[in-house]
Amino acid sequence: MTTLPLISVVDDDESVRESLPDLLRELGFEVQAFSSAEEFLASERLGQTRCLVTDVAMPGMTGPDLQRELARRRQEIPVVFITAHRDESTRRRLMELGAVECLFKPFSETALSEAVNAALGSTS
Amino acid sequence: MEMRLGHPAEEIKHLERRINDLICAIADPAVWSGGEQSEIAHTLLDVLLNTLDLDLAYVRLKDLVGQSPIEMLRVAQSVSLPTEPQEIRELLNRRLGDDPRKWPEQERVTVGDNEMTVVPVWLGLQGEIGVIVAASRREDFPRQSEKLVLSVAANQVAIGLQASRLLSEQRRVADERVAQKTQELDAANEALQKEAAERRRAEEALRETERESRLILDNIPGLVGLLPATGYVEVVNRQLLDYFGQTLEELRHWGTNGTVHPEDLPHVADVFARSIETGTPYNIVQRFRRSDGVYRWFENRGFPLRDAEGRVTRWCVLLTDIDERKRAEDALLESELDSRLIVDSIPGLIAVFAPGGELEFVNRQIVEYFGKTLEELKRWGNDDTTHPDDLPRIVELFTHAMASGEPFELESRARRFDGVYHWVQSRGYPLRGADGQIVRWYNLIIDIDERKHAEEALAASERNLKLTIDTIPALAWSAGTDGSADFFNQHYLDYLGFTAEEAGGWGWTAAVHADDLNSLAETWDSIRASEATGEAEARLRRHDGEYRWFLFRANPLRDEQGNIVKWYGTNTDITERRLAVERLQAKQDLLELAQKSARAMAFDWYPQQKINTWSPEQEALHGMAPGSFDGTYQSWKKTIYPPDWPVVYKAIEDARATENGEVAAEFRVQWPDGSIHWLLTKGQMFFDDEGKPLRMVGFTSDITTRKLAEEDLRRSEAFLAEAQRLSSIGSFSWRVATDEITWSEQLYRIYELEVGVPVTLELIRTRVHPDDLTLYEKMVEEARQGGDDFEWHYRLMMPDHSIKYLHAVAHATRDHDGELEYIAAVQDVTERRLSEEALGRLRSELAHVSRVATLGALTASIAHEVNQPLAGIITNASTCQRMLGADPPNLDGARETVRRTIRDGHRAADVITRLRALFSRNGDPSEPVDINEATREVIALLQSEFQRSGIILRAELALDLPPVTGDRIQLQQVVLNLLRNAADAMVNIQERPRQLVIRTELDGGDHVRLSVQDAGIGIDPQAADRLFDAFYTTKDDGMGIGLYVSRSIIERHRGRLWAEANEGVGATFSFSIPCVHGD
Repeated sequence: MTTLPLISVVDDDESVRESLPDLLRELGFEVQAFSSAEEFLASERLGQTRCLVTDVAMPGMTGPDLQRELARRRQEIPVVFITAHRDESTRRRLMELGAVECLFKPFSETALSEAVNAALGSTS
Repeated sequence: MEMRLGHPAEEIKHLERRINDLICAIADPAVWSGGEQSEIAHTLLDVLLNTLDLDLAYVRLKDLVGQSPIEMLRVAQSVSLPTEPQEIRELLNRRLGDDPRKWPEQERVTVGDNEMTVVPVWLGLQGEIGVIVAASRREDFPRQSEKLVLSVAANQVAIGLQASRLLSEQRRVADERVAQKTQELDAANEALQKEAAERRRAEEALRETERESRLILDNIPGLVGLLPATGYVEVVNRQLLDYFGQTLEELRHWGTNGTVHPEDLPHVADVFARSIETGTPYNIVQRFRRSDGVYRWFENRGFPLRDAEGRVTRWCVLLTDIDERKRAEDALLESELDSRLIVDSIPGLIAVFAPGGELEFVNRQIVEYFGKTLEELKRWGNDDTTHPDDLPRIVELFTHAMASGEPFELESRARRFDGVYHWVQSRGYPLRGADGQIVRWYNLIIDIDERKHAEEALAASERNLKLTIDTIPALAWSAGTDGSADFFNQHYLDYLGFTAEEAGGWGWTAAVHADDLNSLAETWDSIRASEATGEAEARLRRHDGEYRWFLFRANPLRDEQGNIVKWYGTNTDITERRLAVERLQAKQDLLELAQKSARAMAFDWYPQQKINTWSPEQEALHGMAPGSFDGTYQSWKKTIYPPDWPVVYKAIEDARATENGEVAAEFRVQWPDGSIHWLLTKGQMFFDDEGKPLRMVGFTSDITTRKLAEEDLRRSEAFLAEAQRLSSIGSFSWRVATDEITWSEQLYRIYELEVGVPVTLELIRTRVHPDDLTLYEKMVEEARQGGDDFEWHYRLMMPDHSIKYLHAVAHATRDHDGELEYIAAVQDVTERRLSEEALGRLRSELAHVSRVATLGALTASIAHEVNQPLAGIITNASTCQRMLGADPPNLDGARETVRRTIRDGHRAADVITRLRALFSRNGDPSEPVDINEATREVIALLQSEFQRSGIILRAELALDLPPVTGDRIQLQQVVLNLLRNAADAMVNIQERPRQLVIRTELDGGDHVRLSVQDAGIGIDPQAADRLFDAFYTTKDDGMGIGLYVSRSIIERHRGRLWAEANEGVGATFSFSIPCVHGD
């Protein structure tokens, strides 16, 4: 039995936490949603996560902060950033720091799918 | 007495019997009635001995107050026992102890030869009364019943004894009282005796005192008598008796026995009797006869002695020998009498009065003057010697002088021998004796009738004078030597409308015309200094305010030595004369002015005679040297400035044509030095038969100045017109009474009317903007009635419907006829108004631009707000599509995603609504705004942006803030600006939290304050002044209009916006605006 790859979603916006996991599941992934970076870091599923989809601006620890923290912990989880703030310079900076993708909300199902698959592919 | 023992029943009977006996014995009143204790004790012992069949009964009663202890003994006759009580006592004491109260209840004691049982029974509860001792040889003593009887007996006896003691005590007290009373009575008796003795002593002492006072009386070195209230001679001292050589009895007849000098007797008797009757002291100078028969002068003084109620009890009479003094006085009188001869020879009226005021002597002149004898004159106080109108006053003054001893001076009318009353002056001087007493009054009477009449005449003439002065039509006055006025006639006062008080002193100068006051004062000073009659002219204000010219004429009044004592003066109205003179003067002045000042020269010229009849002045007008004019027509014509010759020629032709030959011309002459001068010649020309000028009469004046002035005027009018045109200011004058309106050219231009068109109010009306017509009419109406300066703004509507804004300022004046006239300036302020409006529009454009700029800066924020739900919508829609496309379709999942899609759609719509409200231009500028709510909305907009920038926003919004009035959107824009500025100021801050605090609070009760505090780079103090300038910015991408626009918004809300540096880092920007109900 093959286990579906686990994708963790971190976003402080509840509507994202509701909608995005459903879509990812339809796309054939196992999904776990977290409302903050801190919650995710404390979770036992951290180690099983194959791909992290995270918001950029969040109260407390931000998306980039989370990425830095994971790097510090040597947890090499590919990261896909999602943000409602369309700012190319931000995107460029995030990509330079090693993000797989940075999606501007609203994003299409295809873009999401490509990004997640790219993330999964990058480690496989 | 039998003895029974044994059977109880018998015993009881026995007992009852004993007790009965006892009670009978003791209850017998006889036993106690005596009350003596010894009797009681006796009775008791007898009863006990017999009743109880005892061998011995003994009683001892303790000592009582004042009584020794009682001891008694009864012994049965059958036994031999001691019979003396003390033997028993000693025996008992020895055997049983000293204190009976400590004795045992019973004891076997050997008494004498017998042994017996002794039973003590105490009297009183603790034996305080005494003790009874019962004894018997019987073995069975005491039996129970015997004990009982003993104790009952003891009880009864104790009671009896106590009663007895009480009784004896009462008796003792009663006795004591009697004794005391007796003592008191004795004492009273003694006191009475003492009193009687005292009284006797007192009487003796009184008698002694009387003797002593008698002695005193007798030893007084004067003659003293004491009289009862009746005046009867009661006591006199020995000296008096010795002096008079009379007995007291003889002396009592003093009224008839020559003791008093017969001459004095009537007076003395009279005075004495009256004094006794009225109780007033008397003092009589009289003669008493001495024992040797010689009469000597005495002062007889009597004064009453009074008791406490004020009743006269006695009279004390003191006689003092004044014979020596009297003789001295008489000697004086003698010498006086000698002097009477002298007095008689004095050519004055002399009267001599006694100190009491009675007339004693008059000289011969008086007798002759009054035609009365001395005796007749003595009645002067009661007859018509003095005029009845004067008499009461004179009598009072005279009496007063007599009493006070002061010299007097009176004036009265005295009836002369011929029955005519003459005014006399009477002067009185007291003549005093060696001891200072007044002995005589000398009175000098002078006939002052003539003087008096003269005075009256003078007063009358003064009255007449005043009447005269008051009736003369001139203003008459008088003044003191210092120049201050002291009199004004009525006419003068009426003229001034002053009261005498107001005009007095220098008060009248208030009515002198201000221009004349100094010269009048100077002239008045110099007149007084010259001490001669003088004049001055000045205007005096009449009561109705009109000034009239007066000739002031002052005359000095001198006394006999020629010194000036007063100034009299009259003021004559010379207004008419003066006016006439002025008119005359004016005419002369005019002539002179015409001749000289105006340089108008008269001439009479016969051109054909070639004779110079011109004056040097006339020559000078033509630039000729004096006397150089040859009198020819040609020479005259040569001086005329050629271009003006036609004018002159025409004037001459015109004169020729007219009947009277009047000629008038203004023309220029050219002087030899080439200068041009304007001349005006007016006159008459006469022509010969050939029509040539024969004679010219007229005058010429130099009008160069006028001409130049006219030219200047024309030039300045032109200037004014130009200035008005340039400044768009027109002017007009409006004579209200006639509605004559004159406009300046510029005003015509402003109204776009042809210059010169007659202006009427109706014409103006046609140009006034229809909306301002009411205002215009109201203004016209008010201007007609008022006469105040006024200012108004109004609009014109031109025929092409263009609008002009005018601002008029009118100044009210009165012309020389007193008619109201407005002179006004009217400015066309249309352009200013338009530019103001343009500026306003520009400002609001700018505000909009700033909003747009803010919008631009907010794009990210807006995008975030919108993108968030959009992301949800698209994600859900994608999921839904997949769920529906599955086989079988996941309908439940799809439904759920659709629900979320709808929800996110609404969320996006809400964001859009908020944004649209924020950036809409349609704000209600005066709705009540809840600052907190408006602020929360702005915070909601900025939340995500702040989050992104890592800014921690803390809102401290005060509860229950009153609403403010204003434009909600504009205020929100200000809040947005402040928050964004604060955030921008913290962008590069890394070393500390980017904390931002927004705070609302009540400010001073009627304002609401909002402040935004950042922890940013702070304010550069040097730039603080420019913070709010437009286009000032510290940001690389800022336009610098945020704060400028914010401040203009806040100021439009009647608030203020300011910035201040924080105590720590950063700055705080605040604004404060009034609440709805604040002001």
